[in-house]
Amino acid sequence: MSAKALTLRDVSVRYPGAERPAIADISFEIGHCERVALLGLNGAGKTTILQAVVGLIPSQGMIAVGGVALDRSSLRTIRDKLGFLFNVPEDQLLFPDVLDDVAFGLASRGVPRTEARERARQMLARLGARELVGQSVHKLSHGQKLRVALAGALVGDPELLLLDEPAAGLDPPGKRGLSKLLQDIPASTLVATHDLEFARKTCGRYLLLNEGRLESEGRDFDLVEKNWA
Amino acid sequence: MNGRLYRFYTDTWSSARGPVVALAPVVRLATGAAVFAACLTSDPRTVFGSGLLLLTVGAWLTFCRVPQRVLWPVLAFGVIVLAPFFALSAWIAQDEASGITLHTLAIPWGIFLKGVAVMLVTTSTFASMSLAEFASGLACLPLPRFIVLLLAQMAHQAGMLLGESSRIRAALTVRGAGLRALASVPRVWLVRVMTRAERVSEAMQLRGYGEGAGFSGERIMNARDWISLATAAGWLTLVVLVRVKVLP
Repeated sequence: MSAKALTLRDVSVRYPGAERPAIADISFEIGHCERVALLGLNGAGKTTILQAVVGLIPSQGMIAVGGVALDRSSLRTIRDKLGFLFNVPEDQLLFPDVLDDVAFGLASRGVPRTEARERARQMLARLGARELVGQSVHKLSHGQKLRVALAGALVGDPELLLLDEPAAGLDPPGKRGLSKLLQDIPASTLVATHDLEFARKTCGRYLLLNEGRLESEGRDFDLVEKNWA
Repeated sequence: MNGRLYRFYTDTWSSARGPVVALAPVVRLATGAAVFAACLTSDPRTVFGSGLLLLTVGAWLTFCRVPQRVLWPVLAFGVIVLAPFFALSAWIAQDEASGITLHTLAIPWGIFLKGVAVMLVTTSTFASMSLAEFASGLACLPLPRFIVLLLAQMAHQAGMLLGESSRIRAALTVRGAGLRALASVPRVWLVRVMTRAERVSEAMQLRGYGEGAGFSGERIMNARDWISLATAAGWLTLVVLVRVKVLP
């Protein structure tokens, strides 16, 4: 049997000086091409889990991406396997030109510049953002920046996609478009969100966090809705 | 003010319409740097030196053809910041029997003229390219890679920070912040900037910024580029020679 796209075993994170851990004893798995919603109210620990998976914050326990255990030596390998969307997309736009930014991930892995830019152009077109080619990221709206950041995360055909509040700030058509796009992408996806409607439309399974602990998991999103009500 | 500063910053890049725009980004940067160096080398304490400096700046402004909406604010800023140096004249004149003369005015005049000149040259050079061309031009220069990455990111993030500042100011205005609240702006701004710097640093780590070959420029230069480079280098040499000859 092939390795899971993402495995967490008893993962805990405690920020320096904090009274209680931000997340405690979190264990779950995500299968290939499975879309999972990481649900929780503000401060539940959703972002902490995503950041721990990519090694941005130190954690205890075992994390593995595609069967590769996360440690100092495997960090780059793991990061190359995944696409990450920060909850403030503007932060991850490192280049002033839209096409340069989207193509960067490919170019840094040795894809020739012309090919990288062509693939970046195609990805932007796929996200309905063809008109952004040639624009400066400084002049984009929040929704447009989100699409550029998402294009940058997707352009390298990642095995695992980690999205932190991808629907925040999007209008209803934008959310519907994003949801449909995520369903079409052949990658395992973990979506951290508190937008239950978006999660229901996009993902087949949920993990519910409460105060840093995994409270429940399942496929019936109505249960979460009742819980939150 | 901040909103206007942000708009000014984003509008300045790529606003020039002169023949310099047709040059390769690396050549625009290199010729701009040569003109900048020529301004600093000039000695505006003499009439000839002032003339040479004004000619250098005038020629560069003509070749760049920067719109007036960009030039005037820079000129006004230069005058506001550098004009107070003329107050030095009175201090210098204390040691002179004849009081304030052309001689005592020469030093502040030199500071003023050089200061305004380099501001105009820098702005015009940046106006002749987009932020992306700036980064690409930098990548072609024989500079250490970390310097190139740092400068490119500083120019990019400066725009982002100005946008952030404009949002902070808008929030304070909407919330009816008075003078007392204005005093807290630097603190609010600093915290935001620190938080943002941390998040950007995380994004850089994650995306492998500076690790692979993802940041490069294309050094394709034609005859016009070489002629421009040679002219700028020649002009700088001339200014240096004049300066060396003039100085005792």
